[in-house]
Amino acid sequence: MKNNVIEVKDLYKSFGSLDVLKGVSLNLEKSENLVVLGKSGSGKSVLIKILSGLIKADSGKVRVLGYDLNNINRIEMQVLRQRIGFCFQSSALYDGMTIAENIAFPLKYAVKGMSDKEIMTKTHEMLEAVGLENKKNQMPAELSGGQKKRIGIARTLVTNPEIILYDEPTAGLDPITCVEINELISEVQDRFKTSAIIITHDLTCAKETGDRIAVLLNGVFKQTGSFDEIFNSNPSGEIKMFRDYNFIEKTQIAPKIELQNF
Amino acid sequence: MPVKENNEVFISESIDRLLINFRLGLDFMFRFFGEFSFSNLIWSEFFNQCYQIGLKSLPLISLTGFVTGMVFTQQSRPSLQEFGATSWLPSLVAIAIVRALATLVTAIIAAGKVGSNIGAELGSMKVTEQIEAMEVSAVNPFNYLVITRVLASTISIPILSFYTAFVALSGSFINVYFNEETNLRAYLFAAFENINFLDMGSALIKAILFGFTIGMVGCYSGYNAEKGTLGVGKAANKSVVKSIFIIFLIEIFVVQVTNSFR
Ligand SMILES: Nc1ncnc2c1ncn2[C@@H]1O[C@H](COP(=O)(O)OP(=O)(O)OP(=O)(O)O)[C@@H](O)[C@H]1O
Ligand SMILES: [Mg+2]
Repeated sequence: MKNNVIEVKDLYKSFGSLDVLKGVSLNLEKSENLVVLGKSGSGKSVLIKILSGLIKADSGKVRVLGYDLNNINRIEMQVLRQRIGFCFQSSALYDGMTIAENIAFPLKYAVKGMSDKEIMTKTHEMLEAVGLENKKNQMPAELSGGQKKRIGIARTLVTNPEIILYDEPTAGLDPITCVEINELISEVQDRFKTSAIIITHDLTCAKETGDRIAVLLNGVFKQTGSFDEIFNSNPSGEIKMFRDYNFIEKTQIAPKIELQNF
Repeated sequence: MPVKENNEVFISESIDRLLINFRLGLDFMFRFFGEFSFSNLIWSEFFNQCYQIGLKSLPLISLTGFVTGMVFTQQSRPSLQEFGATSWLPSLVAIAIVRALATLVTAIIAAGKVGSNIGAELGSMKVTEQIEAMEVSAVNPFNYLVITRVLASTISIPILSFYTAFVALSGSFINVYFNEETNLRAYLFAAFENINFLDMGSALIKAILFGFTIGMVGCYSGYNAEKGTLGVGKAANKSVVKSIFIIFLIEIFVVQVTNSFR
């Protein structure tokens, strides 16, 4: 219990009359990758936005790296956010800046005391890690969706966060890039002992990157456990549908899963 | 972020909305004064904005200012000729330009060009989650985006207004020179004979307020853009309409105050 980097208890959130989260509880242990599965619109993005302080919860306990998000001041929030990485579903690259400037942005304006040279080296390192160093002077509008996604991940990782929140890192990518991203996520965990919450619809991604899977259904976590515990032990209802539509054996035939994701 | 969550109507729906917007706008303005500090100012972005707002408006402002001065002189001539008072032309035109035209023309052009630009830029950043991305990377987007733009516009518009006055007077001089064959010395002497410190001072104060308004309204509209690409267009549109409206209110108010000192 001591080693939880994120602790959420009885979290509620609604927008107007729409109840999105209805008593979510979850723990994330240190250097654990937790995959969150759930239907579109089930509130997965809302959940991690609450964890990063972008949205305020209606009620419930949220602790991240020891900070109570219901009782946090601006300075503490700033410190906390430097230790969290958030990878947006939409990549959210700054379209007024070049790719290199995008990656350098958090280093330049959030991390204090880095020299221009260090920032350049680090940026270059990240670009290499995601295999796009030849794009560094291009604008985000000139990249494909998958390339944007990779730059988004690079920008998230550049500050060496302790917790990383990935919002559908592989959605809309071709199967080969998916595999690369999955490997990148696992590698980051191995190398830096980071903890991560990975939101996805993609069961291959879930299997490859997740130590533990949680299924968000109707505003609560229906089931948590290892991949096999959830999907190979006679699932029912929506979990079964999830499995059948994403059927794991089929993922070897790569293009299939692409089509099924849409 | 609505002030009231329930759908209770106090006066009428549209008046309620107007009042709520007014209140939120004021909050936004107070936030500017609360968060502004020279030590946190991001100078590189501030200078970039001065360039975007100030320098890039020069061609349009030059053209408009020149034409305004020239045409205003041309059209005023017949009325003065009736009284045989064409020698008053420089003085009349200069008073009109310094007291009202230069700042007003500059502000309205800038509201159209700069205001819509800021509204659209921040609006698109808002709807594509770029502002949230800044926030989670521990960079204060209000400081990075709003404070730099508002400050740049508050400083640039007075300088542009001064420049407009200069260009408009040049246009007027050229017209007078070819019609009445007045030389520059005589023109300047006649023009500035009736212009005093109060005129200059109130013009400067107006220009500062106009610049502040354009930056503030543009940022407010963009920062609060509704989701979706439609929201971006609306934000740009709103920032022009609202800032021109507020500019006229300020104009009327400052003229009243100035005249009470005469
Ligand atoms: N800012 C907001 N205002 C109002 N409603 C919102 C807001 N953000 C999310 N919602 C609503 O909350 C619900 C959950 O949204 P969320 O984005 O978390 O879904 P999701 O599980 O991430 O889906 P997807 O897999 O499609 O990304 C949706 O019905 C959405 O309409
Ligand atoms: Mg989502």
